[in-house]
Amino acid sequence: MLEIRNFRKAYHGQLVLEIPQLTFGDGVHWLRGINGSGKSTFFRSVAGMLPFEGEIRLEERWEVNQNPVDYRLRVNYAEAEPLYPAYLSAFDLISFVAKAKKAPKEQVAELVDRLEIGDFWKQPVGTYSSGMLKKTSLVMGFLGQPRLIMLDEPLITIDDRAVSNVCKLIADEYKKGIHFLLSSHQDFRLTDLVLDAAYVIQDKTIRQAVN
Amino acid sequence: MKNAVFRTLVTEFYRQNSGFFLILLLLGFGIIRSDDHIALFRYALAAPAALPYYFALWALYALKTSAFVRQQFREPSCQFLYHLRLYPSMQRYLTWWTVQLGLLAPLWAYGLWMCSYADGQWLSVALVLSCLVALTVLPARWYEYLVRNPVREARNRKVARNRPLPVWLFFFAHLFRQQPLLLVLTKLFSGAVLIGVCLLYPTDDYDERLLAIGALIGGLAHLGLAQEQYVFEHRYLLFLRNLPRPFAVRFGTLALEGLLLFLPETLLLARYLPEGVSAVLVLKVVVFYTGIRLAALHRFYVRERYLEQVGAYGLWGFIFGLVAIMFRLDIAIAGLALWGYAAWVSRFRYFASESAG
Repeated sequence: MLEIRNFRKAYHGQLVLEIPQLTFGDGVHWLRGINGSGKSTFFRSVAGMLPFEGEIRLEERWEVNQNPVDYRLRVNYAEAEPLYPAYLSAFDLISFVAKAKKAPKEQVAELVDRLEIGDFWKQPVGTYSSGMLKKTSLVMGFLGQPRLIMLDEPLITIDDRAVSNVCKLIADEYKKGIHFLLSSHQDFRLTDLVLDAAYVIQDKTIRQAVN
Repeated sequence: MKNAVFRTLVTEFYRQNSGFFLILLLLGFGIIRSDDHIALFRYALAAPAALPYYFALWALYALKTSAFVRQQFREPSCQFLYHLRLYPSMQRYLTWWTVQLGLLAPLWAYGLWMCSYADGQWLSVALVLSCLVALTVLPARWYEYLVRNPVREARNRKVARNRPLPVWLFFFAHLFRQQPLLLVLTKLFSGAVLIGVCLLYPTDDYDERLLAIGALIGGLAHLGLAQEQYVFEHRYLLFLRNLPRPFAVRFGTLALEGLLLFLPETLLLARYLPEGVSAVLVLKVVVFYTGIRLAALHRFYVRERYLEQVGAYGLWGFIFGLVAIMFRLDIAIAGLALWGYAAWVSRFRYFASESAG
C-alpha cells in the first residue's frame, strides 16, 4: 500500500529519521514511539507537508513529489494537536477541506453526525475545548475518498464515547478499503480496533514490532 | 520577572525589527545628512507650529511598539506575561514605563538631540519633552488592560453564518481580528505615499517615474503583510500542504487576495491620477504592487529563514527598484517578472519547499 525508499529527514543538519526501505501493507497499522522519536515528522512527511530526501509511493502509482495533487487526494492526515485560527469555525475549515478533497456532499453531514460536532461546529474555534478541536481535526482527516488515512494520536483529549465512535469509524472505513496509519501512546489492543501490524519508531528508524 | 518581560517585549522588538531599523538608519541618516536633520529641527523648534509633524511620526512609531506588545501578549509562548497580574499595581506600572522607555529609546535619543539645539526655545523644548513623556507613560494604561483581560472570547461573525467563509477571506479575517494595526499602518503609509506623489506630480517637470517610485515604496511597505501571511498559514493552516489544490487554484487564490488587498490603493490612484497621465498607469501599478507581494510570499515559501531577511529585501528592493525606474524600466514589465517568479515557485517548488513543520 505504501512504500518508502531511501527516506531521510533532518532538521538543520540534525538527522531525525532514516528509513532505507519500508513497505506498509494493506490494513490498519499502529506506529509506536516515545515522545520526540519522530512520529509526527514521519506522518507529516508522508502527508506531503514536510520536504525530505527519498521516495514515498502510494499503491505503486502516486509519488508524493512527482504526483503532488493526485497523491494528496488519496492521503489524509489528522494532526495530534491541531491549531486553527480562533475566529474561524469548524464549519469554515471543514467546508474548505471537503471541497479541496472532493468529498461527496453527504459525507460532511455523516461525519459531523458520527463524531458529534453538530452542536458547536458553527461556533468560532476559539471557544472550543481541546476535545472539540480534536474532533474537528478528525472529521477533516476522513474527508474525501482517500486510500490512506493517518491519525496522529487520535484518542487523546476525547471522551470515552468519542473514542468508541472513532474506533467504529476506523473499522467501517477499513471495510470500504481505506488503510490506516495510527500513532498512539494508548494501547489500541484495549479498544475494539483490529490491528494488522504494529511498528516501532526508535533509533531514528522504523521497524516492525515483534508483538 | 522584570528581566524576562524586558527581553520578551523590548529585546525581541529590536531583534524582530532589525531590518526596519537598518532601513531607517540608511534612509534617515544616509540619504538625509545629519546637517539636514539639524537644520530641519532647528526650524521646527523656532516655529513650534511645525513640531506636530515630528509628533505625528513619533506617534506612529509608538503605535508600532504598542502593537508589538499586544501581539506578544497573544503569543502562546508568551502566556507567562499574564503572571504580572499577581504583582502590585505600582510595580506593574513601573515595569510598563520601563518597557515603553526601552521601546522608545530611539525617539528619546532623537528628541534629546533636538533639545540640545534649542537655543533658549523653552516652549518647544517643553513640547518635545511632553510629547515623549506622554508616549512613554500613556501606553501603560493599555498594557494594564491587556494583562487584566487575558481571555478574549472569539465572537461569532454577524453575517452569512450559515455559509462557510471562502478561503480567500481567511487571511483578511486574520488581519482584521489579529493584526488590525499592522493593516491600518501599512495602508495609511502606502496610501499617503501614493497621494503624495500624485499631488507632487503637477508641481514641477516630473514624468511617470515619480509615480512609479511611489508605487515601489507603497508596494515594499506591504512586505510586512506578506511576512504575516506566511506566518499565519504555517501556524494555523498547516494542513494546506496536505490538500490536493492544483497550481491554478493555489495561485488564483493568492492573486485574488492580492487584488483585494490593493483595492484601496487602486481606488486612491484612480481618484488622484494627475491630469495628462494615462489610466493604463493604474493597471501597471496594480500589476507591480501585487507582483511585489506575491514574489515576497513565494520567496518565503522556498525557504522559511528568508522571513528574517525581510528588512534587507525591502532595502535592496528599494535600491534596485529605484535604479531600474530611473533607467526607465516599465513597472508593468517588472511586475510581470515578479508574477512570473511567484508562479514558477508555486508551480514547481511549493510542495517541495521548506515549511515550519
